[in-house]
Amino acid sequence: METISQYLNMGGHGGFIWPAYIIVFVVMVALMIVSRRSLKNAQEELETLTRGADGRSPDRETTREAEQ
Amino acid sequence: MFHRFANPTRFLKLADVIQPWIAGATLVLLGAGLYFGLFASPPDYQQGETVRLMYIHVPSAWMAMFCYSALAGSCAVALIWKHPLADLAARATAPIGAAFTFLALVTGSLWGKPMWGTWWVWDARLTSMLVLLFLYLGYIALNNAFDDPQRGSKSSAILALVGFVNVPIIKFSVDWWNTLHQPASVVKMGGPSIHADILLPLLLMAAAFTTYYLWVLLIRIRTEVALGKIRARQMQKAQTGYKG
Repeated sequence: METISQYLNMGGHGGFIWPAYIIVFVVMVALMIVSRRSLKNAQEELETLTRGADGRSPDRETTREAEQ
Repeated sequence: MFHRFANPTRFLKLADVIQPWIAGATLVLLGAGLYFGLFASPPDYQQGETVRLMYIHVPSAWMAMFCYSALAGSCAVALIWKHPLADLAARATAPIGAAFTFLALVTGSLWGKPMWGTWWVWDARLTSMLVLLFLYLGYIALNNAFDDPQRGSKSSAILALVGFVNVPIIKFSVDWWNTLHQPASVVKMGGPSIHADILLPLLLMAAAFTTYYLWVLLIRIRTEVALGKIRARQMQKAQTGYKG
C-alpha cells in the first residue's frame, strides 16, 4: 500500500504530473468523441436527405454511395 | 499518386481500409508509451520524476507545430491547385492542432511551476506558442464566419499561410532569445542528447500522438465530405423546389 502511495506521490510532484496526464487524456478522448459524433450526425442527415430524394428507404449501401 | 487520392471518393475507400489499422496502432503505441513513461523508465538525474511530464508535453508541442505545418501546406495546395480534399484536410486539422497546442501550454505550465517556480513567463517560446493557439482559433473562426463556405476557406487559408511565419519562430525561439525554456535536445545537430531510457517513451508517445492525429483526421475529413454532400443536396433540392 505504501509503495502505491509512494508511486503516486512521484517524489512530491504527483500534484503536477497526474493532473497533466488527466487533462491530456480528457482532451484527447473528448476530441475523439466529438469528432465521431459529428460524423454520425452528418451520415444520418445525409441518409435522411437521400431517402427524401429517392422516395424510398435507403439500405446501408445507398448511404455509403451517397456519402461517396 | 497524391493526385489520385485527392479525389474524395477514392480517399473514402482508402480511409475505410486504413482507419482500423491506425486506430490499433494508436492504442498499442499509447499503451507502450504509458508503460515505459510511467513505470519502466528512471527519474531524471536533475528533474527527478517531473521528467515524466516530458512524455506528454513534448509530443503535444511537436504535434502543435506539425499540425500547423500540415494546415498551412493544405491551405497552400487548396489555394494554388484547388484540390477538393486539401481544403477539407485543412478544416479537419485545425481543431486537432488547437487541442495539441492547448495541451502543450497546460502541461508546460504544470511542468514550469515545480521546475522554474512559475506557471507562466512572457518569454519568446511560451508567447509564440500562445500566438499559435490564437492562430488556430482565428483560422477556425474566420473559416466559419462567411455564409459562402468558399469565401470562408479562402480568407482563413490566407490567415493560416501568413501565420506560418510563427512556426520557425517557435522552433528557434530558445536559441534566439534568453528564456527559461530548455533548448532542443532531440531534434538538433549532432543527434539527440537524451539517454535511451528516456528517449524511448518520448518517441513512443510522439508516434502515438501522430497516429491519433491521423485517426481523428480521417474521421473529420469523412465528416467534411458528408457535409459537402449535404450542402450540395440541399442546394439541389432548393433549386428543384424553386423551378417546380
